[in-house]
Amino acid sequence: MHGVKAEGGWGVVCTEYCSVHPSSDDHPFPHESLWDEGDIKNLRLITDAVHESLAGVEIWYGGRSTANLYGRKASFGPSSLPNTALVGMPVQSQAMSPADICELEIWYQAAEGLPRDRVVVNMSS
Amino acid sequence: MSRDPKYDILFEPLQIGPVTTKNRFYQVPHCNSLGHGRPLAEVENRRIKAEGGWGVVCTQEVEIHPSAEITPSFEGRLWDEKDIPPHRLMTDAVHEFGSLAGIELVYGALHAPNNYSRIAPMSPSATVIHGNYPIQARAMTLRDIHDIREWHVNAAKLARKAGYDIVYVYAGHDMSILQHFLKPHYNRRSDQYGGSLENRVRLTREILTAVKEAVGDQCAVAMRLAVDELRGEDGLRAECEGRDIIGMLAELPDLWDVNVSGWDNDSATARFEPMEGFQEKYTAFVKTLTSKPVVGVGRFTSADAMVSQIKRGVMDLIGAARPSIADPFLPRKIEEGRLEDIRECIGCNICVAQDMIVAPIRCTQNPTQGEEWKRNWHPENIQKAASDDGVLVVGGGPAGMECAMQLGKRGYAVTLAEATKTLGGRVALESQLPGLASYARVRDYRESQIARLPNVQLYLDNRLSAEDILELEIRHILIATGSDWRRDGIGRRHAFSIEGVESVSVLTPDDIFSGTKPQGRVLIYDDDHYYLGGVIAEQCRQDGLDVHLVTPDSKVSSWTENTLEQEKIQSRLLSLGVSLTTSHELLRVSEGSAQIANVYLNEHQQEIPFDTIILVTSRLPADDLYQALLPHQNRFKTLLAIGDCNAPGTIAAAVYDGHLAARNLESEVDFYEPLFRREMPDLG
Ligand SMILES: Cc1cc2nc3c(=O)[nH]c(=O)nc-3n(C[C@H](O)[C@H](O)[C@H](O)COP(=O)(O)O)c2cc1C
Ligand code: SF4
Repeated sequence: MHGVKAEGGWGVVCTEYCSVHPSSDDHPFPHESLWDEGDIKNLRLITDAVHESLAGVEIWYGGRSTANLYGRKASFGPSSLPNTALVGMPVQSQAMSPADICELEIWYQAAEGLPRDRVVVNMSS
Repeated sequence: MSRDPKYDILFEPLQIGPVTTKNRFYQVPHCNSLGHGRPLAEVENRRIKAEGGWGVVCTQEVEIHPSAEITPSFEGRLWDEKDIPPHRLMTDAVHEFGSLAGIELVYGALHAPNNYSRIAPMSPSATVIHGNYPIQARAMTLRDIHDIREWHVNAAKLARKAGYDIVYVYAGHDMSILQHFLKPHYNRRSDQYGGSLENRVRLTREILTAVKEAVGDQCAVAMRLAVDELRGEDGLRAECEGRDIIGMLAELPDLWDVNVSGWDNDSATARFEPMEGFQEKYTAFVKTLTSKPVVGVGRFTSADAMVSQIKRGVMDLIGAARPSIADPFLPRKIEEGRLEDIRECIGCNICVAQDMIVAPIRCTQNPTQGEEWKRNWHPENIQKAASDDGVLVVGGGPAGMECAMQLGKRGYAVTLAEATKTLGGRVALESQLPGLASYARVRDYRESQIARLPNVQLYLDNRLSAEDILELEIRHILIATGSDWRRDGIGRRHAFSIEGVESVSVLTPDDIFSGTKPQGRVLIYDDDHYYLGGVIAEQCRQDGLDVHLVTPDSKVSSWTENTLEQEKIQSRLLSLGVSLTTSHELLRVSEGSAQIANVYLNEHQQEIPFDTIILVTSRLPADDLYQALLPHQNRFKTLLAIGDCNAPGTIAAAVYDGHLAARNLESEVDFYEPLFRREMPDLG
């Protein structure tokens, strides 16, 4: 699909949101992930297909807006508030400690450290 | 220990067509959202049931053709030869334990929107499909009918090749073309497949005959039929069409698997069908009309009830979906005379909810359900302790009890301290409310296990402070102190506190639990949307109060659509005389009066007078103790908040979190690296 967009002339072709860490999945929605080397192999197919154009990846950590229906971790959030995922799970987020916040920064950095053309940091969810 | 001979009858083999089951425990088809998307997880899920002693282990619904597929769900798929390998893994895993493997072949028709294949769905007559999808099904031609027969035969042959012993023909839950043909609601045909019941049954008869001809030498052919839709004259009824259909096809299948429809009635929650064996009144007649074996369902968890069903001639095989989810080892426990070890299903339908939201199965009682492959968790085995260290678990609710029990099973010296005089936490409190009595099973199972673990010391009525804990010599501390309902109205709709709540006396569910009696006109504001708001409304009505429930959602208890309860809840509240105002938010509260506004048109406002207002919105972690210990974190090897005290959620989430913490204690797992495997396409 991304290859067809590039062929159609889009100078920049971005992925959808792409989770930086397994403690944030947006199951059941099939989003991208950059959790380990295995993911790189798969995303490499997109960047190769986009070749002439620039390929962008929107790295993302969902927090309260995901219910982690695959990994089952209580989502992180600034405070413990009801989950806002589309499925409306009757669960709340886990308030992050300063140590948790440090970890999150590391996860973003790790994802950014992966090979790339362009990284878009998602600030909207 | 060996079993009581009175249960021997449950272990008698039984011939089903060309195959024989070793006992009477029959895991009827149930989905787990693992299926074709997560085949390895699927196989482990079923393997463990076979290991746990189920004589027959079935798949979930298995699609037989791309023109009836249910994307985004991950159920079974057997479209062609390429689908066989994962099925072969499943049948091998089941056969490893001498059990039979059954497969439910399904042509979903009106239930299959074909989001992946984009083929227009088919139906006996042109009509709208299920759900709100803005598409309709086209009427089937005679050629289509011929094709559907062939697709069943092809799939049955593939199933035989994959090693299945029992092949289903399915007409249940309003989810199969065959049931659609049976129902005059969908079947308006004037040819030989419509009109009289004989005509409407024709396709089922033809398919049963064709499948038997194709694979009947090796495989038993089972017919799953919903004999009653519980819709009175507006649906199929056991005493009318149900009886007639069984009569017409009596000896054709090798096995009758009978239940009620739709899914909400078949998998009814304990809140609406509290009694084990609740389907007997609809299905008991079947055995009088056929000589073939009959399997039935009804949330069976007690060995005595099972024996009674067989002895009284209601059924020959005890069918179970949820009891096998809550305890995959139920048959083995009966066989070994360990009845007290059975983890009884509580009838909450969290398992169903996972399927509804297309996520891997989970269960309130069995935190390992769905994790068999992903985390390599076994429901009965857990790794030995890594040291002789002592562990303190503070709080005896669902998370704390599960954690203490599992740590006890690992062999740790565990101290479980509970502030109140009883164990159970929220389940002890909630089980006092109407319809939730079975939730106490979450406590009962763990309480009796803990009592038999000599290395777990229980201290009730023992509220510990941070100073108390710092004085103890224990280096692993798990805090499971639960959560408190908020008094400020913050919830799903309201990010900030509701105007006026601080100046009037508001109640929360915690006040109801601790015995505060609402008075006069009661206003319940439900911005939580799970069961509790509706249950409290029911309780107040039972106490003879005037009750008005307001919610910003367009339905009451809206999340319970996922547990198949929403319609039943709304009907029950209306029939009890509870006033319902949906799609309204609480703007402000003053003494004796609340102002609410329509969420779509905020200027539409009303005043509601009340004597008592109860806010059911969201919760605050009760983590004071944890926060007080955090500055001293370096004095401990482990300091962890678990369950609601970490992140308020469902009972299932709390039990799971307690289990996870017990497994991870002193393991190599980095707390921040949730250790699980995922099934990924290998793109080289
Ligand atoms: C999570 C879940 C998934 C189910 N999926 C199916 C299915 O795929 N096909 C089917 O015929 N019945 C399905 N059922 C219905 C069960 O087979 C069974 O008839 C029903 O749950 C009543 O049995 P129980 O009280 O032992 O759970 C499902 C039930 C549950 C709880
Ligand atoms: S989730 Fe609830 S209903 Fe389903 S099997 Fe477990 S305890 Fe039973």
